[in-house]
Amino acid sequence: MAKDEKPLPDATAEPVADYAAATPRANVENKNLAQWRKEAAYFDALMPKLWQDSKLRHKYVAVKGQKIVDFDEDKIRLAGRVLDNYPGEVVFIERVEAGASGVELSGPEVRP
Amino acid sequence: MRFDYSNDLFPPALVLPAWVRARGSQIALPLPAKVDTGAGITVLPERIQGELDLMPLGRVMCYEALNDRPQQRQTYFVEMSLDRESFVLVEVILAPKARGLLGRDVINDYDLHAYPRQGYFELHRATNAPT
Repeated sequence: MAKDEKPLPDATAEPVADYAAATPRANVENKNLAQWRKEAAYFDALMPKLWQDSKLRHKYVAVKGQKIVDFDEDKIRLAGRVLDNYPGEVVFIERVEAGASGVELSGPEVRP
Repeated sequence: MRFDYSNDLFPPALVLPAWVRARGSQIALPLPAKVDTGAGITVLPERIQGELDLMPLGRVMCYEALNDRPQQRQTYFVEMSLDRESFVLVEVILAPKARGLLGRDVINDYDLHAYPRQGYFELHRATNAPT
């Protein structure tokens, strides 16, 4: 190193370590999210057909690998089975319903 | 269960220590959660996704009080407990918050008595709540 040259700060050491640890996980999460969106798109495309099926109409269905793998009238019960039967796997759950439902969220907090 | 009002918020709010864990896990994380009768679904801090290794399962259209535009969000399922003993599976959304919001989907299984002037509130699981 030349006399007047200052050493580079070592500020990158920890972030690089974090980055190395975080990146594979972020990649997995992004891959899972992309797969989840594929399953959702499959459900949306299939919706008119599902609606015609009296066995599935008004029920919650679980989509995995672009197949309906389970269904139930109770969303929590179905989610429990999905988490038990397909741990760590990408599954999409949605209700076979004509209109979209929604939930409201609360208002703002104020700070003193 | 009896809890003190939290003075970390202004005006003071109903905040309690909840516990969340992934399905089937024995490791539960503590999480301060505000009782929020204005929320139709329970909200957890985003960091929980990584800590519990959660995957999205469902989706829901959210209508926020001060935002006319609804926003679709992924939903996740976690096991939640307010007494650290009995856990129930709950559908949640994630948001960049420090504490959780206990929505009516959870609160409505409890009898809630609030005494703001005395600075405490009580929450008891309703006798006819689903197990």
